[in-house]
Amino acid sequence: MTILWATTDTTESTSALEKMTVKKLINIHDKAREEEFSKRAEDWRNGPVVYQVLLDRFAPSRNLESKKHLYKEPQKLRTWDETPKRGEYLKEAGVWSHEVDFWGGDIDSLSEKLDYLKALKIDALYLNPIFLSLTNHKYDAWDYSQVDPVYGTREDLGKLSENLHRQGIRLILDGVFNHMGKQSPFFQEAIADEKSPWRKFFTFSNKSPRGYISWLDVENLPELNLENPAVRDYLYAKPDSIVQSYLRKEKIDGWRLDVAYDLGFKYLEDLTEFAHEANPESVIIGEIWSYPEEWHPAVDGVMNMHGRRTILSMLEGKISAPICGKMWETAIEDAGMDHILKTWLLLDNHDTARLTNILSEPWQQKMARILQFTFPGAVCLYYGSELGMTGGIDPEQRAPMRWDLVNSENEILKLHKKLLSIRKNEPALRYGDFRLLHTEKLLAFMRKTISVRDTILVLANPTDKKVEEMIQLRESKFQDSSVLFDLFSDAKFNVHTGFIHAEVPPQTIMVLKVDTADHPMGYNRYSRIY
Amino acid sequence: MTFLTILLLALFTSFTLSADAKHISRDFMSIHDTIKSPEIHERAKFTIYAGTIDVEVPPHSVMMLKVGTDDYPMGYNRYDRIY
Repeated sequence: MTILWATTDTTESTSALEKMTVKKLINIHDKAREEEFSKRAEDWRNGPVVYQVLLDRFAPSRNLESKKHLYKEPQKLRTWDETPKRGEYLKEAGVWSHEVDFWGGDIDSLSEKLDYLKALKIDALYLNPIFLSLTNHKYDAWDYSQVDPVYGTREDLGKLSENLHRQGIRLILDGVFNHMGKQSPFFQEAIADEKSPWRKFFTFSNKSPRGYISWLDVENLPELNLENPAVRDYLYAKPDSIVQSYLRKEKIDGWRLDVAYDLGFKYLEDLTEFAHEANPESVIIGEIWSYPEEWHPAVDGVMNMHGRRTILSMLEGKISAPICGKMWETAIEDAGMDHILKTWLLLDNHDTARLTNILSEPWQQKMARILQFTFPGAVCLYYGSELGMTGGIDPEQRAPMRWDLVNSENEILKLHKKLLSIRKNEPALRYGDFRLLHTEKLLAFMRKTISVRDTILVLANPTDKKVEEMIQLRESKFQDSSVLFDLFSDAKFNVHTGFIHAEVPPQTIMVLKVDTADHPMGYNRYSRIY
Repeated sequence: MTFLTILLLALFTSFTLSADAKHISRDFMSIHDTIKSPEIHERAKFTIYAGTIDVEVPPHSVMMLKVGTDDYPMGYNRYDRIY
């Protein structure tokens, strides 16, 4: 947090602000909320930048030859310059051939790229599933207690966790606890032996012509019987359970839960509670595609697919900019800011086409990316998105990382570096309140803490015409005649009686801050305003 | 299990309205994607996506929507653990 509670040195400083303690400057409204903002600031789960990686596709293995024997039929190794293509259904294995195409990335090769992640200034690394299984995506685990040997070992994972923590980066794993892979030895034993203790781990049922219930009716994904307490003990309730053991032993910082909506509120609530017991600072994020409201506190936060949808719909012209803002305001009001700050706002991931394939115009992509970094919640950045990688729906969006696009000429990378830097330096974007502003055509909102120096104003014009509007600024501390300046252009607006007359060019977004610098002869309107 | 959530859409104009993801997203937290919502009288269906639906409402008409909660053909059901 930027609040400086200590008395500043009055002997060396010249500005009036520095001659006073900040405490004397804050008003009665700030005082009422200072503790709340301090708590928000201290909790890393509020508004971090999370970088999502598919291990197989992120960085080429340094030891591919020595581990080629680990890839067994029907698994196939591809070369890094190949792109994933939809394949054929392999009846015997119960999967598609593109699900068993591998590119060879692993924990070791990821570790070689930590400098890149550090330079991006990310706060957390989220790995798609890494547990022993048949496919490359590993959403069909055979055994959660083992890291798939094509990726490494649990020891490697522990070292990665340690190295990341040394760099100030958290580690989050993907837990798929609704179902396992059909070829899991546990499921195979359950099929073969009705008296096996594993039998009650799965949902064998006459309700299904197949004899067992599987996720979305997909043959390869038999559902776990969470109604059996032994399953819950195995997954999360015991100290040596899957959820808790990775938190305690490898010291991971949280779990993203696949198809969390299928686990239901009660089991999610229990899982989250046990995870917090194992590590009070851990985060549990649910893959929830619904309206976020009631999923907290069953999970700490959701993958904010709802927020994503509002942004894309506005940019596709399906909803107006003011309606997009209203939807955000409503979702925040209903879910509460504590929840929304912990949600992960993504524009694309392994289940969607990449943003560059969804929105064809560069202005649309730029506006979406800036909104991703300025709306409340964590930023969840899918590997390669920062480079402008392309890719349609599965499996195209899961292409190997284009390291050749990491160069100083890449405008999308430049934009992301700027956004990541802004995000790091602007507390209001990480944990500030959200205030929607009245508009007729623009999307306009503020993010604010108790300091006016943190306040951010976002104006977005997704229409194809210049928009001029008088905007009421919901910030009492903006002094009259102050100047608001855009962090992305030379645009400036003068504040007058709590309003600005905004002129926003077509298809343009602005991120504005107030200028609190001294006048040339030393006068400063903000000397006594925090 | 009884699902009581009902969405009512009414259009008073004389032309068809296509409304993409308007405020109707608000109360549909528990309804999942790809589930069809059968309209009780006319059997119109809309697919929920990320807590929103794109609706097309004929002129001078009212729709009363409920969420479909039937099993999939092989028994899977998104609502098994959702009340």
